[in-house]
Amino acid sequence: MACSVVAVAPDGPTVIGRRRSDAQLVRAARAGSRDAGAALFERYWLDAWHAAYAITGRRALADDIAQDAFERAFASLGRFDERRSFGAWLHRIVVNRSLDLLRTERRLVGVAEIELVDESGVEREGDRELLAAVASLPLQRRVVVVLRFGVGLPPQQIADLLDVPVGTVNSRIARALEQLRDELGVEGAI
Amino acid sequence: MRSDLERHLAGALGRLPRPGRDVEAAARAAALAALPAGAPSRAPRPRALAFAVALAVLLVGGAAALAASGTVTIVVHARATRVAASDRLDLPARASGIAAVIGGRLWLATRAGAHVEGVGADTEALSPHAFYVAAGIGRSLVAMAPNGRRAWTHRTPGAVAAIAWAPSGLRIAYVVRDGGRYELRAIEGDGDHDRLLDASVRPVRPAWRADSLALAYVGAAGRIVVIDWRHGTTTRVMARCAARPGALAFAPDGDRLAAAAGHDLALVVGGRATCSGLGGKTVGVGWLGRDRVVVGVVSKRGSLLRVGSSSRSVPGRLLAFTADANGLLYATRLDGLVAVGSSSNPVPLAGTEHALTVDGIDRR
Repeated sequence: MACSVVAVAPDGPTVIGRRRSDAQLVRAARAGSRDAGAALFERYWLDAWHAAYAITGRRALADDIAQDAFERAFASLGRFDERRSFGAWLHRIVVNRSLDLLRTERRLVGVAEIELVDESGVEREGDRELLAAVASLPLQRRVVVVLRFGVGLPPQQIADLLDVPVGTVNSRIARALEQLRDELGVEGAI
Repeated sequence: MRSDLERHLAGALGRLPRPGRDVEAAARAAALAALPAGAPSRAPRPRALAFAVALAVLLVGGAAALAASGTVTIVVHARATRVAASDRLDLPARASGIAAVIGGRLWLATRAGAHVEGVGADTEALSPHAFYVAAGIGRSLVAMAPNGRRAWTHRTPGAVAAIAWAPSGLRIAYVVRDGGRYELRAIEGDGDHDRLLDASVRPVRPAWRADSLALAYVGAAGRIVVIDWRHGTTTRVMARCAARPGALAFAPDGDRLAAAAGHDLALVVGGRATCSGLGGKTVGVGWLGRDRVVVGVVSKRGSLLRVGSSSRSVPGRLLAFTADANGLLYATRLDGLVAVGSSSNPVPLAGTEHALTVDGIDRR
């Protein structure tokens, strides 16, 4: 569904532009519109990169994964079901590719160092410890934490994306939060 | 209702660092280029060019000591109609043979007198010493003795796009199409222990380091990836000028990697690349001994083989070449035929072009 961008002026709100829905952009991009493709890219690039970075903990991998995900998604637009969420579909590609690469690396050259805390990042007090604790989570828990709190997907969408029951997602989130609390010495219920 | 921890998580994950602007620009360009055809702004691929590639860039093979006495020449039929995935020549050390996939058929000859003529194949790579040839045939990777006897056959999910035999001869890396993507796999030289290395790569021939303990390939996003089993690392080369290379070659001592990418030559050391523009499209890259990188360049002014600041023009259109400490071998399209030329070390690259006939391999 399309929504509008509204500017609030002293004499009342004025519609200054119409934000096209993902489905509209997908249709246009499928027909070959580079403008629509660029709009989809702008809408999801940062989220996709952040998800890849938060899962893998490495900028170089995130760069590759996010770009690869967009290339694959755009190349497959012809097969994309418009009734589905483009964002969720894109994140599915990002997550699968991230897991693929991490598992392959682990198998080939051993466990790689995850360094989610980046000196160039804008951090607030406590972020560093929290992100380090997230980086130390087991991969499956880290993925659901990133999708739930980083990307903002609801548990059902995460379940669809990971092909697991929603109960499994909730359970992984709960255990991840419990582990984070333990590591950070935080008390309190979910 | 969210707890403090959940709110903090959302905030911290929202304040992660941002990707670089150059990374974003490259990703945007690559993504838009992947959009389905149909946009008015997308220019159709020139069919003539594709056909020319299909017609010509079919020469692949291996030959060593070509610069020495005796020549093994290969015949390339100009009426080839099917694209082979092979894109460069092999020059296995101390080997003595040459092979090519031409028009979907494999031709091979060795100094020992063995030859294969016209076996259907998509791509190939000679083993060190030319004892065997690995070929992509249909949905299989096949290792054959030069007399055509099949040593083993390994089923693959799709057509094999590129093959690289490790210098040790013990492993083969290959790129295979699986649905809409290409994956990089490795298999032992005896056809056992096939395993996935990367589920999404570009169909570019990987390059082995001389010790066979490192492999460079082109990842899905077009960046060079180096798996180093000796040091237990994987490295991604992020330099933009080194993105989407068409050919890779390790230096003989293994501490440098040369990549031909578009109009640039990239030299990669420790994951960092230094690039130099070449004024034309690069066609392959190799090393003439320890320190000299040779790169093929094709521009409107013709074809060149460049070694450092010196260069030698190549008649016709340079299609592919390979080099090692023994010399250089190249293929060029000339008057509708593909000719093979050779040159010995050191530069200048004085060489000879061999006259070729059609429909077979002559050994002289």
